[in-house]
Amino acid sequence: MRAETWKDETRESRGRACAWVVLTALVAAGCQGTIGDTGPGPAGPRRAEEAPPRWERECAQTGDTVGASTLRRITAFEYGNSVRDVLGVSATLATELTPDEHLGPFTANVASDPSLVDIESFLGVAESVAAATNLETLADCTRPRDEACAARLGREVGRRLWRRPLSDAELDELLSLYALGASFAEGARFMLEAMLQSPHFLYVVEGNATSAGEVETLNGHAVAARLAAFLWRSAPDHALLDAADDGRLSTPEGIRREVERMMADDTRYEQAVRQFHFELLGLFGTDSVPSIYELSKDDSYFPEWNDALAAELREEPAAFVRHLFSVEDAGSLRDLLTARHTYATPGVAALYGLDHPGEGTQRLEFPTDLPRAGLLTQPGVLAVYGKAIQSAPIQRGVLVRERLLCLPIRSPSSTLMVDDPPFDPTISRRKQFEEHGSAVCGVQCHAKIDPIGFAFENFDGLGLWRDEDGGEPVDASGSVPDSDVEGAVAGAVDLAESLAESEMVRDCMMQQWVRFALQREVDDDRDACVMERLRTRFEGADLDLRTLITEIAVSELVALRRVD
Amino acid sequence: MTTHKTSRRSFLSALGLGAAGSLLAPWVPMLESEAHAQGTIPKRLVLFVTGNGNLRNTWVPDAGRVLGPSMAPLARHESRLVVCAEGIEQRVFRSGGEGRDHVRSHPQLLTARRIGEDRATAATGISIDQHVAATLGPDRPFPVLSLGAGNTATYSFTGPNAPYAAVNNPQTVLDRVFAGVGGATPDARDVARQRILETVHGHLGAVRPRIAPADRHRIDAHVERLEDVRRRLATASSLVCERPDLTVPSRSWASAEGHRDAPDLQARLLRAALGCDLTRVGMVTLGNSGNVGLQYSWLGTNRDAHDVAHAARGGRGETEAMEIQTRIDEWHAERFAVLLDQLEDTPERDGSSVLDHSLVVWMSPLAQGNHSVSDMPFVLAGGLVRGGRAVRVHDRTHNDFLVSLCSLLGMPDRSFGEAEFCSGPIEELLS
Repeated sequence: MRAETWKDETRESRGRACAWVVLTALVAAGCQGTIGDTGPGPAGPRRAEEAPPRWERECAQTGDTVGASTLRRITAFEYGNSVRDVLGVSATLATELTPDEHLGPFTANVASDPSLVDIESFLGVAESVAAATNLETLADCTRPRDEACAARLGREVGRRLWRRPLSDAELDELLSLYALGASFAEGARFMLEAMLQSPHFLYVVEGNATSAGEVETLNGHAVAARLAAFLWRSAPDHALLDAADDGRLSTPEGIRREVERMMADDTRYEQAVRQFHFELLGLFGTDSVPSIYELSKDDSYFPEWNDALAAELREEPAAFVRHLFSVEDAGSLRDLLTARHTYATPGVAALYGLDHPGEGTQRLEFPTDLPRAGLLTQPGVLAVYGKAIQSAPIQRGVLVRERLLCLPIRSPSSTLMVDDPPFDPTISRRKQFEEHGSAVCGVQCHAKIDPIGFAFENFDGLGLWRDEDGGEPVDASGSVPDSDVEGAVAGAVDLAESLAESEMVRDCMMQQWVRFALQREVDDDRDACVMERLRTRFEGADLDLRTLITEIAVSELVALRRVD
Repeated sequence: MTTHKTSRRSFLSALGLGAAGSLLAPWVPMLESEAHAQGTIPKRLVLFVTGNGNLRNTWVPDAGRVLGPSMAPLARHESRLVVCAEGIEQRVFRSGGEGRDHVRSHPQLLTARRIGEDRATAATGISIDQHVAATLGPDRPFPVLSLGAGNTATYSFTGPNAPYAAVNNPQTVLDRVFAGVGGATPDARDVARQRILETVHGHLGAVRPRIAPADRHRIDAHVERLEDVRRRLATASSLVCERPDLTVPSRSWASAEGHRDAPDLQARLLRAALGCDLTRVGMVTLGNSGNVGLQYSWLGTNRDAHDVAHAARGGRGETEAMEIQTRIDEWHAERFAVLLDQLEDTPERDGSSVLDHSLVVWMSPLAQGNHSVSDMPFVLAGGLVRGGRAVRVHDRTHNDFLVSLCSLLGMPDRSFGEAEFCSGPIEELLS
């Protein structure tokens, strides 16, 4: 019975998806004449009477649609979250996968051919995940444990892992693997191993168009997959897939309803927001700074340094963005950079010199004379961008320049050939770099990076405030070369406030969120119309960050696909 | 950790050829590969890569000596070593482009090519290990077996922008590399695994037409590699070769503890794989090129190894940092010595050892932690070199060094990597 219902839904939704493909092609081709053939979509009724979605009437008519997407393999983070959410196993099983590649600051597997080692890891992790899964409770298969139950499991688990309904043929094939097992559990495990190694899980296979430059409207299931990857970094849940089945993801309004649900007090949304910021700021480690999980500080210089404090340092930025992006706090980009509060544990509060009311993570308001602002002056961030004792002005400068302003650090003359001067209590860090830094770092580095990094000079290697360094008052004056931050900045708070007002930072953050959302680069030409509208709405909402996320999610960027 | 040493005598004992049985033999290589069947013993290449180079003050041998002070742990292998401490420059690194930043230099070490403009960590060509594997043992289950210890920098590439990652977890190596090896007959599990892989293969075929043509090479590569894995598993049970008798402790292999304990375990796994002829090219790679974020706490320091190398300033820096760097260099030398022990204790059928038929190389993507790339530190070991000497060469490139490895393995290559930096094998290493 159940299978029958499901088949009908599939036919229905496929028919609708096909209708949109045709409509998109007709409307868009009428405007610009560059849309190719829509390809061999599944046959279905054309419902020309349905009005095209709103996005067809906006940017498509200006000649812009969306930039191209390339084939994407899910990241280890998505894999782990998916198997945790769908199968109830530990997400850490996915850490045995081979390392992800990067797109800008974010993990994304969009370029390389898989290697033998990759394939071995897909096999090994699939087997360990399947072995860890309680398959009987998963599909309520305690009794009877028979093929009908295995079929139900295949449909329900498969639907989420593959982000769409399974066809009868696909299900039959999985059941033939089930039949190889000596028991229900073994047979179900074989099915699951196949599902997890399948390209339907490992790759995001979306749309029907295959000709370069072709643009299509994605069907509801492809939209659901993109939304879940963006907002949760995980697999869609049944509710989202139901919405796709019912055709509720075929309009911006329908998508918006689901997006709002997905962003409402959901740990999966919080984990995506945390991941965005940790990757954006390089807190998992980069080529030139350690991971926030592997910090080492000189405990003879910092008596408070220990493993417990290291763990608390990680919690602060996570808690801060979790609250900032919640429905209640609904923070803005300005708040991200200049908030006069944080969420901290007692150990971190002590680093700020703040009283802590008790235990755990608590919201702490900054007194007016506390010279800290937002994310960039949090001790954990400054400690990653800090040495065992001393500050790391070059790395801090690169952080702001490359990741918040989207200015490239590329030319050979500005590479990070830094022979770091050792800690010397008799000379200030700034003087060390002014006197020795340019010789090893190069003139470009000196001119474009140091002036940003020097603005953080009031913070040492652990992010503690200091008035003096090397026996003299700290000089934290700086500037932001090549940017719209004009003139000098006086210290980190002034820098943060300037960055919060910078249009370049605004545009960069929009670009970073789109990169994170779609795991592709922003196309300066083709995405221009949509990006301009996003900008208008982001500014219209006074830089509200949830608005930015929502507007990306409901835009053509998610609903349309251009073939590379 | 304590080295699990198995002498040749105890190995023969385990085979019943000695006076008494022994519990020490961790594996029994009796694989009848084509080379073995023909009676020839295959040549092998083993690369051992550590980050950040060495502190030259304590690493470079004095005149008339083979080893520098921090290489003391290698004394037991001195007669089999060629130490090259001078005259080879990583010129591709010097030649500009993205790769000049040391921390992004790792794809250059074994490719000897400039890094791509678009993706700073992408190689633009094949690495020497993969190149050599295509000659030494392309038909082996693992053309290259790349094992890591806290490794976060990929050195091996099968081609442009095609990384071949190291596996850091020895348990994973044990489970995957030796999966099914030595099993009597395929059991139901093996049959099911084959069917599962065939199903996945079918799915790849089904999605391929829906993928944009420009992206289909990724699906094709997936199919090809999947078939490699499937074939390996289908034939694994016919390999007469036992799994290494190794208990891998539970660790976070990404942690400092994992970095500390993995090298010797990986050396034991590699010896077993080489002995079984599962591969002819092996790699053990530690840390990352700049050792960013690594702490060698078991050497009495909690300082970040990257910062230590900087503070040592190529021998002109802090005394404490230079001492720590020397301890790190000694520890790396000891790990290399243990790897050589393992290969030496792995017998071939004719009584010689795997080491006798191997070219083993210790190298680093940097000469020193201060980012210098002239006077790259290289140590060659094994039966394919004339050991017991330190050589000083003049004004050569690491492209030439890599092609010298080909020559030592009997390959005819005259250049490798960027052609402009190639002038042929380095005679001093070959003679």
